[in-house]
Amino acid sequence: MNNAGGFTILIVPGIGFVLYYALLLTLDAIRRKRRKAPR
Amino acid sequence: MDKRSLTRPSSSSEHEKHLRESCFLPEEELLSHLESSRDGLGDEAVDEGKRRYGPNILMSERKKSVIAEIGERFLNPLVIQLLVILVVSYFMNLDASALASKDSGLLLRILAYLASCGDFITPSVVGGMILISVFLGYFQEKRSSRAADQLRKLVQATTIVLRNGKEEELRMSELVPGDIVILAAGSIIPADLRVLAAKDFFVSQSALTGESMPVEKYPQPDPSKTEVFDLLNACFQGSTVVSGAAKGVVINTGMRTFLGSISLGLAGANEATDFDTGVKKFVFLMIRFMVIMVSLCFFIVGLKDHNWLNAILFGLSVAVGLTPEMLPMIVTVCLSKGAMFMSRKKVIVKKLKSIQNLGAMNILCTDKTGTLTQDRVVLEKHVDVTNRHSDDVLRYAYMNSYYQTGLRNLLDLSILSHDDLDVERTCKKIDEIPFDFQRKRMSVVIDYEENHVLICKGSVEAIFSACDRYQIDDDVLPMIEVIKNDIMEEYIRLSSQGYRVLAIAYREFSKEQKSFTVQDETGLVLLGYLAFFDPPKDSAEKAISSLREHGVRVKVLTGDNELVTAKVCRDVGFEFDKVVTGKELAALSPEEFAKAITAYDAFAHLTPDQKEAIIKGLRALGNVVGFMGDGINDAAAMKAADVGVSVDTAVDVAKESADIILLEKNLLVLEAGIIEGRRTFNNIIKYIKMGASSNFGNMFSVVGASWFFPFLPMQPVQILLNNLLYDFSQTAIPLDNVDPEFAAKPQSWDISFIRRFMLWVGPISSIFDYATFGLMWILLKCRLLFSLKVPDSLAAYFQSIYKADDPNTSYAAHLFNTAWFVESLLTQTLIVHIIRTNKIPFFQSRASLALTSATLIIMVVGGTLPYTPFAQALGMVPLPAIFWPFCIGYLVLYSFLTHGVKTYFNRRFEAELAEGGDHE
Repeated sequence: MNNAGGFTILIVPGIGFVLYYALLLTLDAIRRKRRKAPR
Repeated sequence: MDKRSLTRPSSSSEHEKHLRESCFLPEEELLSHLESSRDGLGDEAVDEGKRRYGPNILMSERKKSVIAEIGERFLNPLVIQLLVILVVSYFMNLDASALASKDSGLLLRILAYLASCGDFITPSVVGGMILISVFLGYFQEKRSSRAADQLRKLVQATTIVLRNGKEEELRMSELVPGDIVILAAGSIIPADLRVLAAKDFFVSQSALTGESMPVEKYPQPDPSKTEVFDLLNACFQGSTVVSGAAKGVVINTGMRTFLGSISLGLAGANEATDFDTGVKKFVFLMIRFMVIMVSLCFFIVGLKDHNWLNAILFGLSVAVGLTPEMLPMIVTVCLSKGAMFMSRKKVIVKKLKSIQNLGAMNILCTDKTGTLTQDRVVLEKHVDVTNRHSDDVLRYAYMNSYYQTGLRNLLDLSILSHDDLDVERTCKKIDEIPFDFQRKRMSVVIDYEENHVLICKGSVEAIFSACDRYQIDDDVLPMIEVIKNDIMEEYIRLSSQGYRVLAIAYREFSKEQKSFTVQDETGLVLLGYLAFFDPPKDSAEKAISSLREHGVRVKVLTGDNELVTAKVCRDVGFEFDKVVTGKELAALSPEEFAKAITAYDAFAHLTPDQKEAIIKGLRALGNVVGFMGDGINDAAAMKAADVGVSVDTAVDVAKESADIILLEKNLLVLEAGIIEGRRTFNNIIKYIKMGASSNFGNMFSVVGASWFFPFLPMQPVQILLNNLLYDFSQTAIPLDNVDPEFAAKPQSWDISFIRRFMLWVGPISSIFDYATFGLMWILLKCRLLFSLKVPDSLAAYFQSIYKADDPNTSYAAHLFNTAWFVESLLTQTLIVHIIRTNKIPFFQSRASLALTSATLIIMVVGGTLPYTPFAQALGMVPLPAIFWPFCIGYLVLYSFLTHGVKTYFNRRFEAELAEGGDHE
């Protein structure tokens, strides 16, 4: 853990950011769908 | 009574006793006790009074001493946090051996340990931050608030005072006990006083007692009433004169008044505005992040190295990095600067916080006179009841207006300017029955042609109710029902043509009757009508359409009748379906009322209570409502509104109730103020958006880096310095330009929008932090730790600090720390330019010179710091040349990516906000 090997510090956060923005977009899409649906 | 005890009470109950005693003393004795006379105080007595009692102001308005003001800033939780870090980091510099001995206590041994691993730089940087936060904030605020105070003084309420036998108009703060004040309808009672002379003098004490009915005050004491508020010859500061006129002597001033003792109890209990709540919500949002991050960092660093003291210091520095310690300063300076800019546009801000409400306002309720019309009433016709020109009507009206001593309104002035009659030669005044809003009429009694003639002037309905006869030429005829309708028709015809119509009536009394009251206003003879015309304002049409374009819906609320209102509204191009009258509103159920006030834009014949109810109703429906008015009857509505707007020429009570005062009664002036308010608000939001997103992004970076690397990703002193430099660049935000788009629609505080912005934009900075980590770890080989070759010039230094078990002492750690310090400071500072606008930064929208210079200077300082002699002291090392192309590449990419995400975000969410989307 202390000596993070080579690309770990790029790949782990990289995947993290992709997942993060994918989650944001999904939540946004769901929210949008709900808004458009008749109440 | 002992003179000392009368003039120098020291506690609030003594002040009350003093007032009560003063009200029962014979007038001459009271005046001599107060060293005053019927001609008022002399200069010496005034000086002595000022020296002894100070200015007539309440505690909340009193100026605090410099030390108290600075001391207060030290009590700010954000500053306390910095002070704790200062103390901790200071102890790290004490000589360990001097502190630690075998029999030292635990605390001393901890301190000794702290001392063994510290340096002097951290406390200096923290000290610097405290100084900036406290003193820069203090001086910035002081300078702008001094200017704002000067502006406020321009619109302070005044009072008429008799001194040395001469009437003077003075600011209320200049009053001292013993001053003789002269009061008329619309005045505010400037201090606690005893009435010496009064005429139909009605005072509203509702501000103090909650009693809504006005109370009549007399000069004579009533021994049966001993409760202070029941004293019929005492008036209390903060009450307002509803009608009549009076003269009084000041007994208590400033904090010795009742209002003073009440305000002492309520100090600091001001109701939080929408703006305060917004700032508070943001601070709590930041604190939540801070707590999560600090605990995460503390445990990660602590568990990894088992160096818990290092972990505490790192955690505390991260906490400082995430604290928006400049927020209070930025907010106040933005608001004060906004107030200054607004003053150049003839808008004086009395309460700084109302600037935000002005910018957020989506409905403006306004009275009609002076805003839609020229407020230049012209007497067009003076006719008898059959609508024939009548000189008698003019003559009687002239005498009435000439002799009345109350508030001379525009109608009186236009009558007097219509002709020049020598009334003093033909008649003389006997008495007067002043105007009030219940009767809606007023009378003067004159000695005219061998009789005492009561001439009554007022609204047509009010005069009609007091008449039982009418006059055509020289014939006086009884007013029978059939005729009444015919006579009324003439009035309706004049009104529908847009005239403001007053009726004039009279009654003759025998010369024996010298004193007259309201009861004498019966059995009058209706003489005719006066038709006034207030020409529509040329600028009104443009102002209304411009306000509409800027997202502010205008509603007209007037006490005038519906016919006049409709005519004026049509003349100025004000679109409305129908004019709703007060009577119609009163008949509605609460649900119908809410619908009506939303659907319609013109309301006439409203009582002051109805104006207030409309404002409250609109606010309850979620609108931010402004009210613009200038009369006594507007004060309640103005207080009920989010923003009360008045004009410099308004009556005192209206000016006092207002948050904003216009130096010119013109909707265009107000519109300029609204736009300035939105610009000010936008600058505050810029700082908040940047603070929120950069902190959120840092959270990902700091937590991840603490986890991944064997050393601290940035030294505590560097985190603090980074924060200090960033804060410097932000101090220019209040002076920044604002895109016209931001000023185009109401700007309301929406914490969910800020939160979303933070979630979308924040992590981008973290992406580039990780890219920097990658660069340093992989390409610049910081992963080699102690094996990384140290440049020759630094070899001696690293040898001196080398500790085999502490990777923080390696050249690799210093290189890594420096690189992240530089990258983080440059991106954070540059991003100000991207976030401040929705357009393409630098090309479509440029920051002000001040902000551009501030950010540029900080970026240059940050970039060159590792190459200066201070570098070693800050734990920095020169960065290799290869770092720079990467760093510049990151800055460019970061700007593009942030701009892209920002644009996507704005397209999605701002459109939703415009539709009135959900606010979560």
